[in-house]
Amino acid sequence: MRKLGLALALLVLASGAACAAYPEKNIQGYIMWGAGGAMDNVSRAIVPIAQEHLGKTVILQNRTGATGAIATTFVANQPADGYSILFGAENPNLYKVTGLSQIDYDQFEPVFLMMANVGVVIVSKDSPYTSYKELIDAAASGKTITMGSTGPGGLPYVATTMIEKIHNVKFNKMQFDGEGPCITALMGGHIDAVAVGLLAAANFIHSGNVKGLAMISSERIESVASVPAVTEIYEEYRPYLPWGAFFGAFVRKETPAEALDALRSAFTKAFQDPRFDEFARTMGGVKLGIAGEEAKKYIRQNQSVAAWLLYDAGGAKFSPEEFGIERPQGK
Amino acid sequence: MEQNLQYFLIPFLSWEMMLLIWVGVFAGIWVGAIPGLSVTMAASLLISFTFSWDLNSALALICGVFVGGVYGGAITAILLNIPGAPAAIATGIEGYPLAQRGEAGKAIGLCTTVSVFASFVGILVLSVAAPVIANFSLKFSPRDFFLLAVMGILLIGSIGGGDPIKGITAGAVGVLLSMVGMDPSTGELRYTFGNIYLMAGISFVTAMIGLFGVSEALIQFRNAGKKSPKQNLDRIIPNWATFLKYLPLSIRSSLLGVFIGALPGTGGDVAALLAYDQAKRTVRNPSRPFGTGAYEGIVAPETANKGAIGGAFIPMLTLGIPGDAVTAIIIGALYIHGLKPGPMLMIETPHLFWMIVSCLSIASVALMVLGLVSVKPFAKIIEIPKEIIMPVVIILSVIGTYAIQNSVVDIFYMIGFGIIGYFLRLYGYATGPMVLGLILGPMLDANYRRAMQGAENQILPFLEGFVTNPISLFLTLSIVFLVVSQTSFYRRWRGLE
Amino acid sequence: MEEIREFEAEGTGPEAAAGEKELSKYVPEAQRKPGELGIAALGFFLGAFGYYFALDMTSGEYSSPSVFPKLASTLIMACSAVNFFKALRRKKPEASSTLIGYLLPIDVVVVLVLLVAYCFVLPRLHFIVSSYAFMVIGMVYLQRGKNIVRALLISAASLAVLVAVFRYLFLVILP
Repeated sequence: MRKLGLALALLVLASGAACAAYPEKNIQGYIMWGAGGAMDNVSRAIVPIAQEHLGKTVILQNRTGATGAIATTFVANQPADGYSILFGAENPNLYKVTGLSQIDYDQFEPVFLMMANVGVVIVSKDSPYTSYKELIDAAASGKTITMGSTGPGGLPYVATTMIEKIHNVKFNKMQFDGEGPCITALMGGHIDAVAVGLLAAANFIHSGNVKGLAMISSERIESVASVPAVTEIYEEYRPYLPWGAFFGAFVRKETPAEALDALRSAFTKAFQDPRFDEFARTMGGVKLGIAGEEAKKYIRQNQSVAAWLLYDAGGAKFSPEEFGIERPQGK
Repeated sequence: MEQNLQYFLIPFLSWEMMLLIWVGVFAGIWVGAIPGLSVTMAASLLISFTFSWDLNSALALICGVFVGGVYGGAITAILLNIPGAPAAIATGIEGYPLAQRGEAGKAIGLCTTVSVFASFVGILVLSVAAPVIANFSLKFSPRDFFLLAVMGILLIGSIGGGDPIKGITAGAVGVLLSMVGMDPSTGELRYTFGNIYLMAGISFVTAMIGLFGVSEALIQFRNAGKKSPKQNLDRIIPNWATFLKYLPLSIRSSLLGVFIGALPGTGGDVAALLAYDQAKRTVRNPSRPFGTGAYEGIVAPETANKGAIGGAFIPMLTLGIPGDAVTAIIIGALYIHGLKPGPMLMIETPHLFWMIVSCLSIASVALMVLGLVSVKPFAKIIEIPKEIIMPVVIILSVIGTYAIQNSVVDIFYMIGFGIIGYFLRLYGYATGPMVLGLILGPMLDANYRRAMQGAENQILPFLEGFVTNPISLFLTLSIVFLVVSQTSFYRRWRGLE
Repeated sequence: MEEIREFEAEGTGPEAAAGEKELSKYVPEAQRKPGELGIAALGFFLGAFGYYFALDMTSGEYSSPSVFPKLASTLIMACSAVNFFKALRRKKPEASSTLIGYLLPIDVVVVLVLLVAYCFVLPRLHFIVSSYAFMVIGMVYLQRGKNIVRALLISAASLAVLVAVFRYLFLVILP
């Protein structure tokens, strides 16, 4: 009888320990892109608000390299206890087909997807090209156009591949460490054009330092209403849209439900906070605010568009089929 | 004009901001001094920390930490031969021998004074010429960054006072090691042998702490019986005549620092190295031969990295492009507080510019006071017998290394580097060049490849660029001059031998 | 000008005069140190390995990822060869200095053993215990058993400060 009592007591104690409220200690957040970039800004904007709801600090670090693969691999190797969060963009979707890494969002559970980012093709304010058509015509005529890139899998890379495929042209590419340096190089005249996310480019378009030639989307975006949507100029883009980048927080798939729920609830509340609203408006991003199954579906759709696009254009080492990535519907 | 003056006075009228700046400088000095803790790290922590604060207060604190932090790295470099930050490597090369002679107090005193001067130079340039310099800095092409990195690398053969060829060997090993990991441009794995930890690359801060800190401790243990040098602390504040003597060098180096800081992506580290190099080659009669405790070797790098502070703000405030890692984080802070960094910043929120100028100025004054006041206590540290301080230094290195990425593997790396560094030094291979190689390797590699890509992978256009572009031409000629000026041929011609 | 010289020349201390060498110009020593040839050869092989593994990387263009590794490896091999031959030309090391004796004086050996032990113990006993042990043992050994109490106290004090700063100020969770 005593033994049973002891066993029961131990059981209660053990489950009590397991039920100790998450979070018990500070959480580590790893941002896959560099300081000052769009991913960094979104993460640093939402985390302080989410912290208020979590009760503990989330310590943010930038862990850059290899279009986010270093951060992704790192967090995938941390214990799945909910104390390591990956703040990632859409790049991991292409790791498998480019052969960059075997670890992508399949090993993660999305906590929350904060914002989406649409691509825009920009040139410097002194550029000879004043319209998107002029740029494409120049490329088609054999002139060398140098496009900026952030490495295989990044938004500029996929966008450029899309453009090359649709118009059957080839660009010369120069690689940088992020969208910020691409824009800097553009303003200095070291590259001719680049397709970056609107979040990075919005301010520069507003100030007139760069010209937006086309939004890679099927409709104009409010904050830069003067930039035409690419489908207005070339209908051929429509089957590939909508497509763009997204920013989210992820934890390992095996993370206990308790931690996941706490995180999800904190981020949802932070998302709805007017302070984050203000930030989103200023930055020019599109608020997403999805989680759970909806988020996974969104990510899968994004992956299928990007992966097949890349593969069809010859930019991927492996076929998406090998990884069970379906073709986007109707393409 | 009066508007700007009003903005300038904002911090003076708020006791909270004043206090924060002073606290920031004080904290920054410590952060900068502790190896492994960097200003960048502290800045990112502060951003989250100050999210709910008023923007002005947050900025005041961050400016203070920035100024203090860049200065702090020199302290441990001089006292313990462990640079608190890469910007202080050159300072340590000259400062540490000085400390061993008992002149730590003077070294730190001089360092503080010229640092404050240089900081003001940076602020002045920021206030007067920001837009011009920002636009000019945009014109720097990848090829030019490559040339700058080459200039930094040229330093390799000559620092450490050893056999130049051994120095180059160590430097080349450093460059090779910097390639370990995922290539940032193509994601390709280089030298990783399937090991996850190698995939993340070798952090140069880890290597630096090991190569300087732990190896120094091990070397010291060979002379276990030697007593610690007694410090002479009578005259720590340099007198006016001394200050004037180093004035031309200070001005040159701080302007160099401002400019390098203004280049997007490069900051105080590169500035300090280039300034030190420049000093070595242009100063005719250094107070002592370089490498044994030349005061010029402290003045040059320290003024450069302070000038770089003001410089880093130039592109940030005028164009919204970060001049270095810390300003990149500050840009993030501005976004979070609802501002729009970018070319519109000066137009929409003009008070910000002058307020930052004023915060930096106050921080510089705070640096003067706090720096000088702490010279004596700092210098006394060296008098602690090394049997006691070295174990503490080792543990400090351990925790500092861990703090970078929360990775225990880094600690093993660091100790490994320390042991390697110890053996290397026994054979005359200096560790400074290896760290330089680690720092400049990626800059060389990435920019060389970008320049090549710009020339569409063809050799002829690539080489052409060096002579057709005016900036590249200037830099190329400077490099040629730097190399030639070291050869006997040139020295004989100039009557130096 | 008197003042300036005074400011600069005040560094006294027995080490100052003895250690003053013309370090800005390199003057090679007459004898080579034990093991110097070995390390130059090691360097050469390191460069060779570097080049060999660089062959696996993508190449083909001038801007490939393999360019700089190959460059650096070649430079290492060239310099190591030069180092080797320069060392060869010097006189053999004195008969009295052995390789082990030169590389590993007893104090250094002890510290190395402590460091390696620390690496093993750290994941198991965690930071505070391991570091305290390391510092105390180190200090006591290096002072040859004197001042044990002082060693215990100073280690405790420094550890306390370090932990306070890193754990509570910078929110670093210690290993």
